[in-house]
Amino acid sequence: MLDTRTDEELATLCLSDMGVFGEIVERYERRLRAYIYRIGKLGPEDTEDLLQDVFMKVYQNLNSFDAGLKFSSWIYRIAHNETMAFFRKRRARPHGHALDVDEQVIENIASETDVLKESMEAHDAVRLKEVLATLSREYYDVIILRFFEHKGYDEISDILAVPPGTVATRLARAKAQIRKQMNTNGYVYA
Amino acid sequence: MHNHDSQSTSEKILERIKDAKVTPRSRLFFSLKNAAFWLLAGVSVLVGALAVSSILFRLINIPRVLPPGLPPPPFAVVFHLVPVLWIALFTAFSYLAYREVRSTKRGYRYELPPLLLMLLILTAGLGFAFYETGTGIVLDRFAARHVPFQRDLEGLQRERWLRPENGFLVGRLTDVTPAGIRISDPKEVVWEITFSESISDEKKGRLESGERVGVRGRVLDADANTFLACDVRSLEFEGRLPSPMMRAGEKNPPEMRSTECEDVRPSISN
Repeated sequence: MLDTRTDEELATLCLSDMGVFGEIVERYERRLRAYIYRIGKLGPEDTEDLLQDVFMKVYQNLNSFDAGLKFSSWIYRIAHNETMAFFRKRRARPHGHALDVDEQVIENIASETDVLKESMEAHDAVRLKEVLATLSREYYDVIILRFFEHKGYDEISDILAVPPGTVATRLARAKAQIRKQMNTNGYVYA
Repeated sequence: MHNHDSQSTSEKILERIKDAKVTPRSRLFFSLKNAAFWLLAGVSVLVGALAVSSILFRLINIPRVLPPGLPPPPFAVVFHLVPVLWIALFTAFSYLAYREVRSTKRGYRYELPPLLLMLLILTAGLGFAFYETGTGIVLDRFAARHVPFQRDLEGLQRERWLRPENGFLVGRLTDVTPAGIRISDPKEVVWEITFSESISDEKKGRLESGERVGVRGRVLDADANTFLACDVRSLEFEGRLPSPMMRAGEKNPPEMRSTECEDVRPSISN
């Protein structure tokens, strides 16, 4: 029965039936675990603890969900903020990035940065990871959300709580940096 | 007792929620939080607007503090004239208003330039309205009494205008006759002032007792405190938009003027 419900409907149902929250957890745990890992590169235990904290926070703040947003944007925002708060508490920066660069990601980045896909594939995906690892936090976040989480500009704006124009600017600058780095590394442009 | 390793994430979380007796915060809590940000933004705009009213007061009245025809005042005087305190408050509270609007539920969606522009227009508009009600002058006087390094414009005006040896006098008009005026300066010295023949009769009629005026001319007799006036102007501060300054100046066209004020004329002819 719950399978057919939208996230937004489930969020409303959770308020009267806590058990329904389990369905939300099941829908998002894999995606949020991957996201937290990508932006934080934490160990499995820390990732798991953080993931649980995220869901606790989601449950506690269900009434703040704005029906004008996508539920997924809202839950990603909480995951993002909790991950950053986790590092602030530890007075540390996210140490490195853990990226699973598959063919789809390469294709997306290649097409949006005008770098020939064949050219990128000819090199090891590790090289792309290295390039991405040189990006600053704010550029890295938009690249992750755009190419790894497949979010639109408005969704990224809602997740990072910055204006859509800022998302577009950051994305353009991040792509320019990737293109520049690829150029240094001898990639061919379309 | 559960075996945590075999539990799914959802089971673990539901158990944690039960154990910690966590409940969703009420909708009212979030509504109040959002309202608080809007309220703080409103208060910040209000404080910024009060600062604007004082900035306007200062800027509009600078011409009444600096006597015409003198070289630029020293830096210390300029520092006290420029509304540094109010500009700082205006900047700080405009920034706070911006931060608070950005913290509201959908505030992050506003782009920086239009949001700042909107807040600045709102603050300036309200500030102008406050100035029109005379708030600027009240606040400026209050700050001069209670804030370190703040000086009121009256004090600065006194300092710049009370220089009879240089041809400047300031004081309150106590008497007006067709031949001249009597003023009591801030040191309570009474000056008998004779109008130069150059001053037009029509303009003399604009002078009223009780007003603080500045006189430009020259000392006739320092012991008798007599002075020749080539120009008399109101130095009362405008708490609102300035009305045309009361001023008795020289006759026009210049051919009608006498030679009495020749040495002071170039600086006061405008």
